Amino acid sequence: MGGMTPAQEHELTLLMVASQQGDCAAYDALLGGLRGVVSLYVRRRLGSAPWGEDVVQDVLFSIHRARHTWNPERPFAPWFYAVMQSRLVDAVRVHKRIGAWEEPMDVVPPVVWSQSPEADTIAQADLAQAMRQLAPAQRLVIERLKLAELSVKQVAKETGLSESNVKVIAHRGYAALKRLLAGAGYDN
Amino acid sequence: MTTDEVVSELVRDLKPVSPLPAPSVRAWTWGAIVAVAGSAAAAVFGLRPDLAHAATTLNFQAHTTSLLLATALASGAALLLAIPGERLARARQLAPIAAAGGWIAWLMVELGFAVGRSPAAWTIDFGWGCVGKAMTIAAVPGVALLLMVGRGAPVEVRRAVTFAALASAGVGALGVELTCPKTDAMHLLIWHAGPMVALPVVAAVAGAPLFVWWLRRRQAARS
Repeated sequence: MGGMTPAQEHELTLLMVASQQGDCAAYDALLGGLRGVVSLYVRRRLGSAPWGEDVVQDVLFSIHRARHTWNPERPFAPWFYAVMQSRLVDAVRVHKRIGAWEEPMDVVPPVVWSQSPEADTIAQADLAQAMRQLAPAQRLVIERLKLAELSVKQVAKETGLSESNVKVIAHRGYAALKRLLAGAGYDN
Repeated sequence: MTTDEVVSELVRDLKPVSPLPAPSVRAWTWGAIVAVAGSAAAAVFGLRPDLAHAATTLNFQAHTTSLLLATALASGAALLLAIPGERLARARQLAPIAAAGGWIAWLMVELGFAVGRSPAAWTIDFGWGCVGKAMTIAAVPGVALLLMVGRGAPVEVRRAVTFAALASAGVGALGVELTCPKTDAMHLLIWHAGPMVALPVVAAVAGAPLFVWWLRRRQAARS
């Protein structure tokens, strides 16, 4: 299946046994170990999709909720991979469904402009500051669309999102950016 | 919430858990529930008056054997599917369906012979009482089995729910077989076997989404 060596599985099995008995330190170590495996697994399948980290968290929650269903006499890896695979499939299904229902919309970035070079520098600094406050997915999509000047199709391919999803994330990012810049005193 | 925060929250929330018993052990537990519910149903509805005689006939033996097999195999499959990582071989998936199908095929052969003897065998009587009885007998074991499946973490929910429905319908059909004195094949095919086919189909189509909704609601209530 990849991602977990026999030695790792043995170690994680011992940690899972201790976790079922309520050992918090073992559980912390278990989740730490699993997190790496899940992240790698998710990244391999979803690429750099901005919701990949959500899937990682979802898998960890599912493992927590289902931990009583693992039988210590059975191997740990098949149980773990089944939980992870199921969450991943669910997440992909949900995102596909959202993508299918989202209406493509026009993507128009807010315009930040001024009349002097000094004011331009200040505006750029404010814009950079506002960009830093965006959600990671929004920041990534806007950066790829506007700074790297990629097309929606290219960004979709790069992130693993559907094109309509990219448009929606960008649209929401621009709206958030507008609000942030309005708060900083920009009219437009 | 960052993943670090999620991990910290989960560690804070950690409580000792007892691992679920093996699916075979849980299947026996369900069997005990079926025995109790079946006894209660027999007390309420009464056993068919000709049961002692019927039990000596090949038809009755074939019916009950197929139904017992279908019920036991389907409940085992449902409970196995409640555990992530447990693989249900294709043969094990097909076995309960084959057992239930075997019963229906047997009834069709019976009907064929009956029609050969008299065309009146095609007559369909009014047997909604048997459907109601089957559903009543199946209710408690069915709910119990769904709760047991929900206690696990089914990955293939639709399949688990469908097998649970097949097992419950099997209990209902067995119960009706023991309480209804009618032996004409058309009655058995329509009013005894009908619910056995309909219940798993309804469960596969509508039961699985409902079950997922219930699981999510329960999880939300716990968190």
